[in-house]
Amino acid sequence: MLPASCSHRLVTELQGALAACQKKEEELQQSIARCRVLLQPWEVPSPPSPEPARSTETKPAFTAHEPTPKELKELELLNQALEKALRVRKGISQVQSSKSASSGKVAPSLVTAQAGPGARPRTSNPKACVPAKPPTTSQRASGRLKKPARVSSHRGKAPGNALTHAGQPDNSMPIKGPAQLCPLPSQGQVLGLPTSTPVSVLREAGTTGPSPGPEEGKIQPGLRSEAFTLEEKGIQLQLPLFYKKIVSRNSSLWAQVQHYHSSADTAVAAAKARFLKRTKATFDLPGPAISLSEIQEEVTRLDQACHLLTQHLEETLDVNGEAATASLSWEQEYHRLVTLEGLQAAVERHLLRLQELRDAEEQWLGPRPVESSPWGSALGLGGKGSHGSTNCLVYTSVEELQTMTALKLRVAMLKQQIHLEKVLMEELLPLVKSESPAGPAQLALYRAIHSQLCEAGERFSILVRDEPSV
Amino acid sequence: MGLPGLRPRERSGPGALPRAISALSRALRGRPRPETFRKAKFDLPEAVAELWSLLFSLLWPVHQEGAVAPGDPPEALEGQIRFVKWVLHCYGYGRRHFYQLPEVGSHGSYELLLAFSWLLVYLSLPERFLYLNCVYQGDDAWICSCKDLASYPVPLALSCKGRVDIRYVQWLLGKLRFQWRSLYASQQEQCTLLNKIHLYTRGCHPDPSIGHLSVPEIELLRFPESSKQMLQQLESENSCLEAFLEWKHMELVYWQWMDTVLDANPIGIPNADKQDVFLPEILQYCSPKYLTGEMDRVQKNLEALRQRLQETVNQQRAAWHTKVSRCSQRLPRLPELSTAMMKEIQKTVECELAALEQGCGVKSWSHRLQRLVFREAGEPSHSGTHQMTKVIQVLRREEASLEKTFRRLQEECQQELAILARGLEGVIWILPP
Repeated sequence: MLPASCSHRLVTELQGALAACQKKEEELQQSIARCRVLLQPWEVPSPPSPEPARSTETKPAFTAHEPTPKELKELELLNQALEKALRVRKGISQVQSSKSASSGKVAPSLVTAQAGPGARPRTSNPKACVPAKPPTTSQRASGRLKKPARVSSHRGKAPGNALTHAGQPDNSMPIKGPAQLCPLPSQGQVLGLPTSTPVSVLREAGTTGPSPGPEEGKIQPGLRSEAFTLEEKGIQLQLPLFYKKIVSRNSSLWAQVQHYHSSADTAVAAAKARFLKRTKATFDLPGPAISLSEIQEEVTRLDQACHLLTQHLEETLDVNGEAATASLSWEQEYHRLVTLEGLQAAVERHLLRLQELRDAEEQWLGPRPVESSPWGSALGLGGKGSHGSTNCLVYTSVEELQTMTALKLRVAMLKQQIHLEKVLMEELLPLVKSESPAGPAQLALYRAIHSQLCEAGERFSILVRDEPSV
Repeated sequence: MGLPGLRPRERSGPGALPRAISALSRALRGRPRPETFRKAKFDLPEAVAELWSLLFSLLWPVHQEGAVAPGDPPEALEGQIRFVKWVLHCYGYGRRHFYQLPEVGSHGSYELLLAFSWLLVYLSLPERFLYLNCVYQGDDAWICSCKDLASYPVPLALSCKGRVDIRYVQWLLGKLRFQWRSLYASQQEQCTLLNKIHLYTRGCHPDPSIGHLSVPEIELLRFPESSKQMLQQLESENSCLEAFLEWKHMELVYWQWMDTVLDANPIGIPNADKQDVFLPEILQYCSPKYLTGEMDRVQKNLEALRQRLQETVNQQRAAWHTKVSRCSQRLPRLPELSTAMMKEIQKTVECELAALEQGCGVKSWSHRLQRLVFREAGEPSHSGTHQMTKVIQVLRREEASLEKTFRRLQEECQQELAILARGLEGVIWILPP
């Protein structure tokens, strides 16, 4: 058993690290589920008047099918992600929170419908009576992905069955499928927004269409009455006009904001400075010479500086390899010496600054010097850039993206590992040193500590008891 | 850059102040009413409740921003007032009278107006608020890993008098390793899916520098009903931005008015009541105790680095002097290194270290959210974009340096434990291969 304080600290640190990982994992799973939904066959958007009874009516049709365990697992993940998304959305929109109360029950039924094999034959939107033109990529489309709408009556059958209907060119027929045959309830419902919500955004944005229905029809010709996948028809997608308008207005406004930020009005700046100065003159509460938040910023900066200096040191020592010191040219060797001396000076400076901060914290003054905002400069980091591309990170292949994220994870992981190693060292090394004679329990502890501290817990040393022979 | 339809004349004159305040109010999502400000100037109690809740609603999100584990906002006015007082204290706001305001919110609107205006300048509140509520419609990528896997406090339930066995610690560490692996797998999958989505929608984005659609944008098409939220948010962001620009244009009037507010001072300075102010510490990361702990930690790291540098520099210097003296025995001056060259090297190093001080070029943009954009190799890339190769390069450097640090720590432990192992009698210690 480890001592109580040691136990407490180690367990706290480790649980904290685990919780951080779990949080990250949840975020990732949520994002994966969102992507998967988009990559699955697309159902044509439902009309903005779904009957709530629909989802309950469709349920029995799908219980006839046995989903595979893999599908069930995916389903569960999807459910989790959707529930979470729902919760997040609820939190944001308090206005609609009352309306979305029922949607929690709807969400699972959606996913049942989507993940079950029976859900694959898609029915069309009953109101989408527009004669659909055949999809351009129909040769590639597998039967269950581009289901003609009439197959909705066969929804209870297996995908294999549906395949036989795939080739029938009956998609020019007006579709009269009753609403309850649609296996997918409106997505709007699922994500917590009732479809009856007035489309105020669209009207405010000054769109020509009175409702999203006709608008939708205009922007996506040929995508109406068929289920399709992003792979087949993604290239034909077009963002709605009102969205484009909002976004372009948004970026031009941000550009103006950035402009204001870079070119400050001198009269305003002077008036603000005057106000700060006058207010400061009335400060009569004793406090530290530097405000706590400024100390905190400074300490974070020093921490970061220490990290960067260490990194630079490693790199300096790494040039040409440590073993090859003798083979360094005069320039290289001198460069290294000067760099090291420079680093040394920087560390001294930082230590001095830290001492100053400590003194300032202890030194309590009356009116404090609040000169200028330490936050103003940091603000440039936020917001959207003036131009769309200024904040873009370009990648050229999936491998590149994967390498980047893997490296990012590796760096985060190493930071976590180093932090934990330091904590373990602080807690466990004194333990080993203080306790002297080696009983079996003690030896087991040594072995565990050695493995953890020196081998990252991946390998173990062997301890053999060598009983002195009599 | 002026707003269309607003001539300079309109920046002053009657009605300018209410207009300025109303613009500010809309930029802050319609919270304060202009009338409240006028009442506060005369310290009327009607304005108190609105100003407290304004201050709280502005400061709370700002302080949840950096927190790893966001908490729940206090419901009661009392808790909100305490929070506001503590935050202002952390920023070094020093009007004693403000901290003495009753927590029932019965009076003190003048003090609150001063505090609010002070925050407007000191924290650049409207700007901060805009940035905080920014709606992103791209596939976002953070390059910096400073927030990744940052540990956060978890409530502990330790049994057995709070003591655990080392095996439990080992088990937790093993679990953590397992988590890392699963994180890696999920990340790779996410990359593949994202890339597919980008690939399938190429050419669909109106902005040619972006080219393809993002997940939120496709969701807008796929689920038009549920994506209305994003549109609404963007709309409201737009109106906030418009209001902000209007405020920026008329701000001067407000500050001139604040001058008269300071002149008015209905309370009277100096404040005769010098009783002590007690504030409960609310923000853990801003409390003196936490800061002292952080300072200790940074000091320890810096001192360890100093120690290491000391040793390295001594070695290096000795080696250098040997080399020089060996050379100068044969030659009158250094054969290959002139004084001018040495000066040049010194200058180069100075620049390198100065760049390091400023946190490197990459650091300045790496803390921002980036929109992930796919472009096949060979396609022309627009200026202002950041290339993945550069990011990868930086990350590799960081990885290498961290690996070294980690290995050094392990070696340090190895040495410590080796000394100990030698002291163990009757036990043979066989290290893993």
